[in-house]
Amino acid sequence: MQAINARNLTKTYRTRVKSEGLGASFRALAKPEYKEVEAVKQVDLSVEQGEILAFIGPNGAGKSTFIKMLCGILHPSGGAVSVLGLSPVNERRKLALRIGTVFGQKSQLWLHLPPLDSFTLLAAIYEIGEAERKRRVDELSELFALGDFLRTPVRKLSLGQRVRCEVAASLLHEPELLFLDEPTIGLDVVVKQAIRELILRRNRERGTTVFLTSHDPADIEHLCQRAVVIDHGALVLDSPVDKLKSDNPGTSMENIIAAIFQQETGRPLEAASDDTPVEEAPV
Amino acid sequence: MKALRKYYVIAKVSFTNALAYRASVFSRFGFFTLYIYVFMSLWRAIYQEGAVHGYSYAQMVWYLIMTEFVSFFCGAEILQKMNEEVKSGSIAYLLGRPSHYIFYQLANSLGQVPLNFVSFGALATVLGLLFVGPLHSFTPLELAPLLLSILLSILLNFFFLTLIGLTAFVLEDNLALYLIYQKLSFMLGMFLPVEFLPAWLQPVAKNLPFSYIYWAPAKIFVNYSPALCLELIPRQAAWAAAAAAAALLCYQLSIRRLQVNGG
Repeated sequence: MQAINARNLTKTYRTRVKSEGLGASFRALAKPEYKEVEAVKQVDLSVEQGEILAFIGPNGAGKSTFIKMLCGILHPSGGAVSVLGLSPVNERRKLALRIGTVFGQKSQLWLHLPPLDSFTLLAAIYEIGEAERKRRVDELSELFALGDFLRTPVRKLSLGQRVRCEVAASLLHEPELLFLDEPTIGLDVVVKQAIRELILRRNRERGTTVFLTSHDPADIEHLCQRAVVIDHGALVLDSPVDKLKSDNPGTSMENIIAAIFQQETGRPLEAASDDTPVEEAPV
Repeated sequence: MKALRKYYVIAKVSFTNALAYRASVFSRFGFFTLYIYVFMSLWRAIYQEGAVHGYSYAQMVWYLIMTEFVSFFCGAEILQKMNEEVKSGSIAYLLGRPSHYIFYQLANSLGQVPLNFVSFGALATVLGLLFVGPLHSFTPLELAPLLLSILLSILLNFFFLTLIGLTAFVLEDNLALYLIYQKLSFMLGMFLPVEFLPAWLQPVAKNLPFSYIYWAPAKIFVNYSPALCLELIPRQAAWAAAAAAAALLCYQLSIRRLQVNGG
């Protein structure tokens, strides 16, 4: 069964444009100018249940916009999409019970409270009973080794500890489909590997479908069965990871992706580093 | 039942969060006392000539204490929070959950009320007793309608701020709207009772929602009569219901226009 089926999915934004200088600011006051930006252009994509898919592209390629349309947060400007057989726009709340999201640069935990309080809040929102909540928190706490800091205010946790809690929080309602938007951004190698192993384990044990966007080629190499590359809102590659490896023996995943991107777009893929500053967690 | 429980838990967690900010409550105690003292001095100067528009000096000070009390615990935090969530993009989490965005914010906002209510309530009572002595017209009978009126003020203020907050979905900056709202509610009840306005403006003020945030509960407090409650409380309820309906409608319309910031 298909977890995601997008056909001609398009998202167009209207943004204000303003030339440089004070004069232009006054002109923009009287007569604002707008520009249409096509963030996602007629994308066709199907993802099978239980699959782990890497969604790769440079900054501003449209990755997050695409994910947000699949979650029902943004309304598509055109095309059709079905996630777990539901329409994200019309059945958003029904779908929300079955999907989980981790936005690596944003926080869903309450900054001044221990993660346990955020878990209690999420359990209520996802309509999980008290006994079941305890069981799942214990299970996730063991799996993610959260024991020591489950009762520490989030602001006192290290980034690695916080991200483990963020991922655990997104798994509390046992979603069938997990969207991970740059979950390992800013983490050190050891923590990155730990997060990858946890995601992989969840996929093997529960058959959870994983839709992962990342700048890190190691994420793709260690986690994913299939790689999809997007640029300027359009797909430029859709291939099994094994095929990429066998077609390019001895080449690192980073170089394979970079070479294909260069070949398809005529431009180099932005350095696949993840030293982008991480936003302060909102309260 | 499950739906109600989820909003109850949101309010409870929000209350726990408010307790984490208890130091800020004490720092705001200073501001509260200062406001009361400055305006009380102003009223003392005005009241050299006796009662003004039917309010004695003691009533005027208690009126001031009540409006400041309401304003301190139903402040603009919710608006700041909504704006921050849109600016940082963390709204993506809230919109992706099986809960209603507006009711989530309401539960979150109400969760902060108990701590402010108890702490500022105690401070307000102490200041009032210290500065002008007990309000003789006040009877315990008044308490239930007064609490209802305060609750309606909180709801009316919340839905107004939510309406302004929702404009952040489409506008880049909504500070101007907030300032207009703040000045209107300041002049039409918070600082001055409606009776102090020019004769032509009074019926206008009584037919606008802004007076029902501060004027209604403070007037009921210092000038209690069952007839007054029957006049003001239904109007507060009607305005709160209208603001709620407008906020829910605006949410439905603006969600289509939302652009989530950041990657």
